[in-house]
Amino acid sequence: MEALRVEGLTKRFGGLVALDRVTLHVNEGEVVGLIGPNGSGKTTLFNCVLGFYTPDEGRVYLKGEEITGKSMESICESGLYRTFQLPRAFPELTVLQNVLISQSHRRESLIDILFRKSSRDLVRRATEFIKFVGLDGLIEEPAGNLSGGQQKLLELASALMKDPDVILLDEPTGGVNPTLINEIKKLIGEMNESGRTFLLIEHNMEVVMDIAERLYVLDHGILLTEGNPEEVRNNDEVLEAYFGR
Amino acid sequence: MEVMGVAGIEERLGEKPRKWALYVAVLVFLICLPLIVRGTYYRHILIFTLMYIVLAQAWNLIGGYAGQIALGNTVFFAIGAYTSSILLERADLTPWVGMWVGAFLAVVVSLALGFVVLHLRGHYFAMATIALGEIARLSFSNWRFVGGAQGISLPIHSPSLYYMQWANKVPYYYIILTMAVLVTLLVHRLHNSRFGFYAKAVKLDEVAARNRGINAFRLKQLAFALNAFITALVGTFYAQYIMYISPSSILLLVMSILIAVIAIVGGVGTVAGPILGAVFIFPLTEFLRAELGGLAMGLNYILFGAAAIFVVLVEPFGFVALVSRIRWSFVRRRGEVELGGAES
Repeated sequence: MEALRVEGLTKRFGGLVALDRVTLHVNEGEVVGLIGPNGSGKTTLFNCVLGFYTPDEGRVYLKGEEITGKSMESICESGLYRTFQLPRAFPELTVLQNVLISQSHRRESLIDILFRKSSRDLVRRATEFIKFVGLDGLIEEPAGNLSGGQQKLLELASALMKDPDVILLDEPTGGVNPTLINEIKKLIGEMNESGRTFLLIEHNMEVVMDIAERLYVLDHGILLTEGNPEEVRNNDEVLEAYFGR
Repeated sequence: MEVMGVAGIEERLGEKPRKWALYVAVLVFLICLPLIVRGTYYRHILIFTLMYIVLAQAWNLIGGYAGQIALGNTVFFAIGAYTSSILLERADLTPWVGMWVGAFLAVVVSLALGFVVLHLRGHYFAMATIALGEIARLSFSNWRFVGGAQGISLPIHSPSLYYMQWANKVPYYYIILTMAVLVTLLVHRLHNSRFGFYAKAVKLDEVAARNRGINAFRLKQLAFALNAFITALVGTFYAQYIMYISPSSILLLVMSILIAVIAIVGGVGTVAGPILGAVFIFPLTEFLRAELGGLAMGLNYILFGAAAIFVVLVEPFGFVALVSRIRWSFVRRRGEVELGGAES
């Protein structure tokens, strides 16, 4: 079953067509990669899917339900979670609070927000996810004291806390040291094995070829091709997009 | 020997019971203060300092936690003051009821205004709230129903609880002290509830907070409404205490700025910040006004501004951070002394 479907998505910035009728889908339990040279429209696609930009044309469906044009927070609560290219942890909040922020806000009343702390169950769950990504020694540390790589791990823990249908990862290994890259790869693999669905943007070809089952290639806002890593690797159009004629 | 961390030292010093003992001692001291401070002028300074604690605590919710620099809080202050005063003057309704009507009205107005201005960010929001304050001042000045530019003089009754009127300042002191304690407890509760870190997340990075499912707009509206509610209650207190209100005495931009500066200099997004800020700034402004106000127009404001800038330059996170730094150095030194003793 399709977890996420993007149909004919177009986004223009003045005269520039950043996305031109892009159509793609991600099946439940899949890890799908989205690759392309810099400026090809990958992050713009994420921004349109997540409600940060309103697309000029096209529709986005999450588990068959249309989410086009909804607000970022309602899309997130519908089951779509996104991590950022540059981690956006809240520096003054602790690691635990950063993860707790991602708890479900659907049934949260004003009284809950104003007068209640997060329940013990939620704190226990958050602590488990922090342990899972290996940050358990830093649980009370302000997130601003974490390294860039640790903040990427923190984003994964936050994603787990939300328990979304699909996780959109924007360069999860960008700017991270090789040891941590392997750790992040392993974590994504384990999360996928436990049933999580991923759509990820990644510039590290070794990583994306290794963990993605299918790939979409974007160039100048146009979807060049799709296929399994082997097919994409041998596609002339893709090679041309990356290395030129 | 095992080296003891700061956390361990704190535990050994029995931090929590000591904290509560300190709070109780401060409260007892404040309750007894009118017995020590007998001069009318000094009692007035005490009352206004407490009043600014409450106003800065309210502002702290929208400005310190949610990060929206609101500079039009006098609008809500005026709504509270005018509502209860008009109800008292024309319907003989006790201000004890009128204050809640005013606070309710202020919440309604804050929700309506917030619907427009809370979509703005940063300087644009601050400028919009300044404009709201000015619009309110001009509107009230030309609105006959609320007394126009002349304002409202409250009818004088014999001292009674019903009319919230007394011949001396002590009952007013206890009313505003009660408000300061209750509002501080409320902010403490909010600080430790989900509101505390959700609002801080919105302040730090609104897009990232929304990306985690936080309804940032609703949260800001909530903070704005709470701020309006508390500020309006203080407005009623002010009207009853001064017995006269007019647009030129309560709808002043300088008052809105003073409220914000108190919270900022004290330490935004903290419970103690507005208290420390008010205790430092209000007596200072009063002293400068009394000593220098007659020398040259605005000289007191120049010196007050310079003092506030100096404090922020020395400690950008306000007095709270300064106090915390001093406290930690004391705790560390004490820990070292204890460790030294254990080693020998």
